[in-house]
Amino acid sequence: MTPHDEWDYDGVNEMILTDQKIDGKERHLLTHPDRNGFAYTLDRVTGELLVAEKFDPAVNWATKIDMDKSSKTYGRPLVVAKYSTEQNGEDTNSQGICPAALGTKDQQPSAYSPKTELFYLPTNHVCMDYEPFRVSYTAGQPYVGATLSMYPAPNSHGGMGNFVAWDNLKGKIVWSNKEQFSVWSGALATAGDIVFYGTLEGYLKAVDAKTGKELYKFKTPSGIIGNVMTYENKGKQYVAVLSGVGGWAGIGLAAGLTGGTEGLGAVGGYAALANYTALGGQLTVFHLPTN
Amino acid sequence: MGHPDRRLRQHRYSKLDQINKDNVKKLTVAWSFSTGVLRGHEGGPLVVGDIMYVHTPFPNTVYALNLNEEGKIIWKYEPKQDNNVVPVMCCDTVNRGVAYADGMIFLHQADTTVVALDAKTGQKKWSVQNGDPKKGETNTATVMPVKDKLIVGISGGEFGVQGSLTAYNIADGKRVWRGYSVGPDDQLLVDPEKTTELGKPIGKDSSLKTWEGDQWKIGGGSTWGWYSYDPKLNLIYYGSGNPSTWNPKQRPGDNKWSMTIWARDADTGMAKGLPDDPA
Repeated sequence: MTPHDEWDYDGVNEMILTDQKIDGKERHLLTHPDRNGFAYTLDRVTGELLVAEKFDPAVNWATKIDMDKSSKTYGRPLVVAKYSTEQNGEDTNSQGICPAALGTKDQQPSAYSPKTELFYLPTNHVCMDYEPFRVSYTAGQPYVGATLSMYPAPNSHGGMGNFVAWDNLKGKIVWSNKEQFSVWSGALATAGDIVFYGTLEGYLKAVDAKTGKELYKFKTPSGIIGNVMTYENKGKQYVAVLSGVGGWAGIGLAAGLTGGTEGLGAVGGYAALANYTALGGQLTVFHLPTN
Repeated sequence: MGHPDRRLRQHRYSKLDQINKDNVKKLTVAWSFSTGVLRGHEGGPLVVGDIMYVHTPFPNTVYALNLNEEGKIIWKYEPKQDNNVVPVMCCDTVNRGVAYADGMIFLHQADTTVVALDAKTGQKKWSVQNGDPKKGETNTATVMPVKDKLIVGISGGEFGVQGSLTAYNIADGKRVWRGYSVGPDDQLLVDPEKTTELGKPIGKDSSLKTWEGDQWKIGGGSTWGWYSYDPKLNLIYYGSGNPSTWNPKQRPGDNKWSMTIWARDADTGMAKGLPDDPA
């Protein structure tokens, strides 16, 4: 997806396998919202690339993915020179690159509802400055070779995250809820027409699957980067989630770092998290009261 | 959580509908439980029957909680891990959870020890070492049981590891196959003629040609994300991580097959296609 990576856009995000109709014909699809800010829809039998579109309008490092099959650069991103850390070179600080290294989304897994045929993406709305430098390899020592700083996407809503409903066939955002911090928690969609996710401040939220309207929130003891799940016990439905701030986005709090470029560039941008939450490790289980 | 097939397809969707858009506003806390560990808690609990399995970040404690007794602890597993693994974890000491198959709970620890625990008693059935933390090989991901195999990844793209995906026998932990993200064809588990990229065969030495000298040996392409499986096609899908180092000038070429969507045969590990890696 990102050949000769220049921004740390790992390709490890989830591959969601669905069977959906395109032009009346059932297709076996793979949908992958990548760190690089493009969500890819492929035919998972043949590998054919069907859709590759930005799932955050702030993404600027590439104009688009070349979808022209006869082109030499078919399937490749068309990189914007100004944001190319390769072209700008070592010891040059390339500024204003969107998304930041932690991607338009990172590990936080999305949900898919067959009822709405929408994908619910927990995302980051974060940009960065990136300065590569020469590094030598020593086994067991960091082999990073870049200094980064991260900040909320400029000229936007000021927050560092969005919770996005994505149409993987059209390659379009259906609705998007802004969040002050990255949504680093895994989403859960249910047949109750709701979608759950957690926030770095510690809220468990439930929103309407069709519209995104917030229906419920509860502040748990620490920031949520865990994945919301639901289960049934003795005929009753429960919802459970782990709280415990940290991860790359919360590394400042988790590891006690304060330097802006520490934590591979994440510490400065998320410094304000300390005004909302603190370290913890707790499971919270929710239910509907019986009467 | 959810139907196993939907879980393997990474839908994160549940058919449960007692809690719905009209009554969710009444949601309230039923019970809670301290994990006894600080730092980032990624992943989620796993429910099998009347037992909930809860994991923690390093040191990767696992609790089995009785759902019929508001989470009373049935058993607890506390791995003994060298603290030296913490400084070689790039982005917090997270772990994305345990998995269940054949009466066993599988945990992939930070130090890359994979353990199989009896789901009822917590007793260790087998364990295997997947990587070497002294080289910066660590783990943050969960594992994926597929038929008789356990699919296991690795972290360490910030430490110049040679990323790979490995399958172990669920029954005894014996290694069955390992496919690297970067390196020679026999290590990649590819067929130059049959493995395709965007519909075309990838050809011989497809990875080696895109690295300078032997840089591929420290080339990254870690595999710490989520894995999916299509039972009909018998294919495992996952993505590979960043090439090492983060300084692109230092590693000329396309650095294949970092940053790639992989489809591998679950039984043999052979790559069918690299559906989307351009280049």
